Amino acid sequence: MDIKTNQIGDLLRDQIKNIDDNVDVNEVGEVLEIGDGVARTSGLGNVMSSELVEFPNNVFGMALNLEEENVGVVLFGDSSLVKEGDTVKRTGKVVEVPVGKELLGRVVNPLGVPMDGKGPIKAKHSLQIERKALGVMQRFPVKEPLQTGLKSIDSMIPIGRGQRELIIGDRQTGKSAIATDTIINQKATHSGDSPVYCIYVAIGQKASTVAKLVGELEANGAMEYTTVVVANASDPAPLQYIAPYSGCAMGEYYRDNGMHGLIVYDDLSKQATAYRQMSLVLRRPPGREAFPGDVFYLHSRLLERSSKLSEDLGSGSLTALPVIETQEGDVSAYIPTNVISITDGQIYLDTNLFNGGVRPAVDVGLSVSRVGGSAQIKAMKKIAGKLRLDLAQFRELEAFAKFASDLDDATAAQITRGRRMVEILKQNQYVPMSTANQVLIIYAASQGYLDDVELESVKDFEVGLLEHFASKSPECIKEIDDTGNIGDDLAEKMNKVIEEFKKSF
Amino acid sequence: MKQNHKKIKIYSEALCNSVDTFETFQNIKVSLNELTALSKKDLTINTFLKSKSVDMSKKMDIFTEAFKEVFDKNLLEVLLVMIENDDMNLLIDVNKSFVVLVKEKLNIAYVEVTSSAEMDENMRNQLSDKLSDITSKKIDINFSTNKDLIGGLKIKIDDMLFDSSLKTKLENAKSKLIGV
Repeated sequence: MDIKTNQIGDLLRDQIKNIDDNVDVNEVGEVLEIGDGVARTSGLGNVMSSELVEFPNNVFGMALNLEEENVGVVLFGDSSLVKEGDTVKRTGKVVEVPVGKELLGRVVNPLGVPMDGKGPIKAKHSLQIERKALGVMQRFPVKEPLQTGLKSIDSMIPIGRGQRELIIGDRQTGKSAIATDTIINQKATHSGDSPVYCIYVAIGQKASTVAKLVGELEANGAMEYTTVVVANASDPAPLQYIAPYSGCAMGEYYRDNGMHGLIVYDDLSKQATAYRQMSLVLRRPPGREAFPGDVFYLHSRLLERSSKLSEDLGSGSLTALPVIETQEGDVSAYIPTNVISITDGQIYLDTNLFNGGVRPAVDVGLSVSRVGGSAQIKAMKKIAGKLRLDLAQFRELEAFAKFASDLDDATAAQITRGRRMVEILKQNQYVPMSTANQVLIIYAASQGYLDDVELESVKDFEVGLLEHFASKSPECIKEIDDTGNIGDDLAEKMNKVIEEFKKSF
Repeated sequence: MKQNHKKIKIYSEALCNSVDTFETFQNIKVSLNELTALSKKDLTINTFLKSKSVDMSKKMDIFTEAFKEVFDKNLLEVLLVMIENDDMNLLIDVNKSFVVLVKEKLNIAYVEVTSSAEMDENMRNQLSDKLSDITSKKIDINFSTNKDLIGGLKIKIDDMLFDSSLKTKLENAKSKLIGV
């Protein structure tokens, strides 16, 4: 492209002409002391709680403690760039983030600043990060399913759109994997009429872990409908504290505009730890486990914002999957019990199951979904009841079977069935399964078609059966997708196809 | 901590009650600033005031003798009470609190003017009069220079900063041009 020097000059002159040369007027204060990411400032008499304030060197902070003599400000940037005596300016804005579809496919920090090097985000809208949760009259019961693509969850711990389902477990038990798979599985919704937009909030994680996750989402085509909000372990505690609220504001945009959102908070234990650090530095009194008194409210006000809206408000929804990490399986610690009581159920992941090769390591006995049942499709509901019963009986008998060498036929049959059920619920990461396929394989297992299949061959049987259905009778899959039910005719047809496949297996 | 707040309030209110005019305020403020600066610069005063070997009445006599000619009578009395209660470590906070209280009482605005070049007396007076007219308050004004401003002025009236410096304008222009 040929650009002349005088053209550049003209361009710059035009731009400079448009720049407002009015006097800059700001309410200011002075930094009295600074340390541990918290500044105490004098002045700022009219500052609002949670207002964004600006320090020199482009460092921003949020006013949190409004006291008689001074204002406690938490810093979002490098506190070594701010010194005693520096001027601090009010911005007049409560912390807000850009929202909208322009953020899809982007990785941003909790202030909405892009971190992926893909240029500025030209969002048309912005929302305050702290917003009040909607009241009772604006809400609607959870009725539509949100498919995770994981057999063990969709069948026994179903999640509905607008639900808050906690994912809880020790370190390295596959908590993030469940959340990631759920995001990947939403790809299917984007070919339908009610797509689910996703937000993944990474709090206090290693940058390398987040980079890997973004890579996996990109590889699976999930970044197109996902925004990743990152507050890494190396970021200041205040950024880690506001990250879930920022992500939630981004999700609320979809909810409030009649769309559907899914938000994953990975994880809220680290957010609570960051909040504890901030509170202690702000000299707020510590309570149990040194957390401040309002740590329950920290999570309740966040999770209450996830909801299903009434028809008058556009029927949008925001589903939340908060993640909590337990220590040595202790679910009775302070933060886990708090979040368990706030959410509409929990998916409990067990270390022993994980190490025993059952992945996802969902402990069906301790996991529950309080509202998702009404969102489950009829076909799944029909077969899931039997699945739960079979697994419960299996767990009970399995313990006895370890001590007894001779088992009666009925007990042996139940153990055989249970082992096969456990086997079909195993699933690899990044391969979520469609609902129809889940229904088919669970149906086959619950009807006893797998009882005489060798345990080692169950996986091959599953793959073969689903391929057989897809090639030989795709109408069964279509009927399940369309009606969401298994009528007598369809059941008969499915039985025939399964028997036919078994002969050739 | 709370106890100190109470004491600071009592001392500063006592000082404030003794101030009726802008001139008295200026006089006491300057004295307090000088005493603060002196005690920071030279530790002899602090050591003397904290000394256990010197009798309290002797301390007060010496202090009165040293400052009675330069300090306002009321200020001296408050300072003596502070010495008696071993509260001279609160002097900086008392000074700050006193300034806030008197500003409210006498309707005074505290103004800091920063310019890129030294302003002459005439300009200072003109600016002071103008600001007094605009704010409808008496002006307690301080002037300083900062070459980094390049041109223009920075005027801080209490907590409000009016920045017409060239430096800020260029920074604003820069951020607008690069779209940050």
